[in-house]
Amino acid sequence: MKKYGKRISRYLMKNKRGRFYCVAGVLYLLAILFVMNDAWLYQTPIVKVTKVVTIVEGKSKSTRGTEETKYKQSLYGKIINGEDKGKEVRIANEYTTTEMLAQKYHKGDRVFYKGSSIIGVKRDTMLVVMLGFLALLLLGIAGRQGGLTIITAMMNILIFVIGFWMADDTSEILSVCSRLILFFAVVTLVGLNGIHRKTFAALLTTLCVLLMIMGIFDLVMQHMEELDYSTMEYLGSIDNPDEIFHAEIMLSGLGAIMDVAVAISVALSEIVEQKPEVKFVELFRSGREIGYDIMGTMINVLLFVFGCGLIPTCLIRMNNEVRFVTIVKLHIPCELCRFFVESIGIVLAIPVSIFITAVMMKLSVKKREKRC
Amino acid sequence: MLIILGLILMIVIVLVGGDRGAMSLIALAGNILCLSLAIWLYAVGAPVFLVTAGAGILISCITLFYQNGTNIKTWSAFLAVAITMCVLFAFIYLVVWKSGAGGLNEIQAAGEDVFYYNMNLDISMPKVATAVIVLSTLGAVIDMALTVTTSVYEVKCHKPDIKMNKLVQSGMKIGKDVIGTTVNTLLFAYLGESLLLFAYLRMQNYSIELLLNSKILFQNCISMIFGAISCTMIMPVSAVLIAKNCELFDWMENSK
Repeated sequence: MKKYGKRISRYLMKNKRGRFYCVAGVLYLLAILFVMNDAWLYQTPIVKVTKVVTIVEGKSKSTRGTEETKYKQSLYGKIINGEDKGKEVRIANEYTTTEMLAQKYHKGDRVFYKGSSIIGVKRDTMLVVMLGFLALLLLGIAGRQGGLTIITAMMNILIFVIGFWMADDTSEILSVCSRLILFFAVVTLVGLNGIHRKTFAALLTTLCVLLMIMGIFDLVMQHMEELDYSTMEYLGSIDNPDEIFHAEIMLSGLGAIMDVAVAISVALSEIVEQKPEVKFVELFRSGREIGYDIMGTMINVLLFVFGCGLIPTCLIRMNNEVRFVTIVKLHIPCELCRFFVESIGIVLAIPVSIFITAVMMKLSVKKREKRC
Repeated sequence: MLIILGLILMIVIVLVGGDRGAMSLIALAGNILCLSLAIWLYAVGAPVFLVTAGAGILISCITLFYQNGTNIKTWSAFLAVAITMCVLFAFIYLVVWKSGAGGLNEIQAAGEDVFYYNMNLDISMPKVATAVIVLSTLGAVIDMALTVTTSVYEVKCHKPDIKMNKLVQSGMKIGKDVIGTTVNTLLFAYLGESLLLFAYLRMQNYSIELLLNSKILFQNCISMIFGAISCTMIMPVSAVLIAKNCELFDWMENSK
């Protein structure tokens, strides 16, 4: 045992990378241990379930006429924080096979307890486990680029949270969002590519394309009948759905548009560097070639992100005799509209970014020639 | 409104992309059809995991083989996607099951739907949640796999006598360059999705400790995290697979 320890420590002394990963791994484990035992930070009482008794309560018909079993659970547990620490409690829980609104609990679960019922599961441990795993994976496989990715993603989330915490209410969300988008774009592009001429080309492209798609969207909106915002999910009692919808389109399309802009500007600047005397038409042609490849897949990425989020609500409606066509027509036009506008943005980003990059690169080459 | 926007999209794709634009338009329609079919199958109570696997395979086939042709690149990408997704499938189900992330989230459960509709569907919602995560990462994963295999193949074409571990390294290098923007694409897509949510939560004065543990946040975060994890994991898998396949191909050519 001692021998192995010595060998490992010698390896670590020699290898800087190894030492770094080791520290990261230990930090990860410590973070998990910390969130597993952070109940004292919470004000809401947390119960650790120690024993579960589940009985079948009855059977009813599901919407399709099949059998739906109803279960009743008695959960025994102990409060692990706050004033009532150590108190034994018994909680009743009911759920059905679908587990749509109420879920099944298992031994060892930690749940928030209020009144005499459960108001939520403690999910922070899982969240930290997953986030840490992702960070380690990125560092381990992608190395320095992975580190940069983590830093930019974290900064973006920070900007998002601070921006919305600062905004007092939702009334000015559009102006807040458009300012935030500038930050997002600068942080992401500079963070991933460094300060370089191609970064500015990508930045300019992103902003231009965003302006263009918002212009197209507004133009179509003005000439056609109003979009019915009441079908938007999570609407609640927000009084300016129109502005929020605009902000949503800009934000969720931003990543994809930046991706296209970066891919094209990096490739084109590479070509110009290798061959400074390249013609404008040739640049345009090779940019188009790259554009073909990414256009389809980028739209697909957005399609799956947007389409899959709709599955649960679609299932409920389709099982309650709402036809699929009706759902598309009446329940999800907002989502569809967003998807279309963003896809238009992705496609438009290709010619725009080719044009901007080519002009910027050519200009810089010409300047250099003059100086000589 | 929707029809006009759809038409604009089609016109723009064909204008910018030409023939291949039209092809990707058809592939897109195919994917939408696949997704709708999957939703319909879920709704009539078909086994969730089976449908998910079927839909996943069909979607990969459309995106890879139809859009990019049947060759060593797309085959390697397909295999890499299949392997990675199979491994992650179990992992995702475990996480969803452990943290109770299935079913409607807090805000959906407080909405009007609950009063109008009967919620006893006899479809296991945790399984559906797993399917949602798997399918929503699929687009990004296929994209990543294809990027790596295509560029490795390119390198192989330019330098036919290159060693296998060099090939793997070059694949990883390309992957590293792309991963940053891919992760950010996913991040922003989900941030945009949850924008309204945050506005709503702020109005409801949700306390931070409950917000951090809420099902809504967890569902959005976990989709994003798994998207990023699978995109990272597919890099080495597809690099190794394409390099192996290239070697195999060479060997077969030589033995002829």
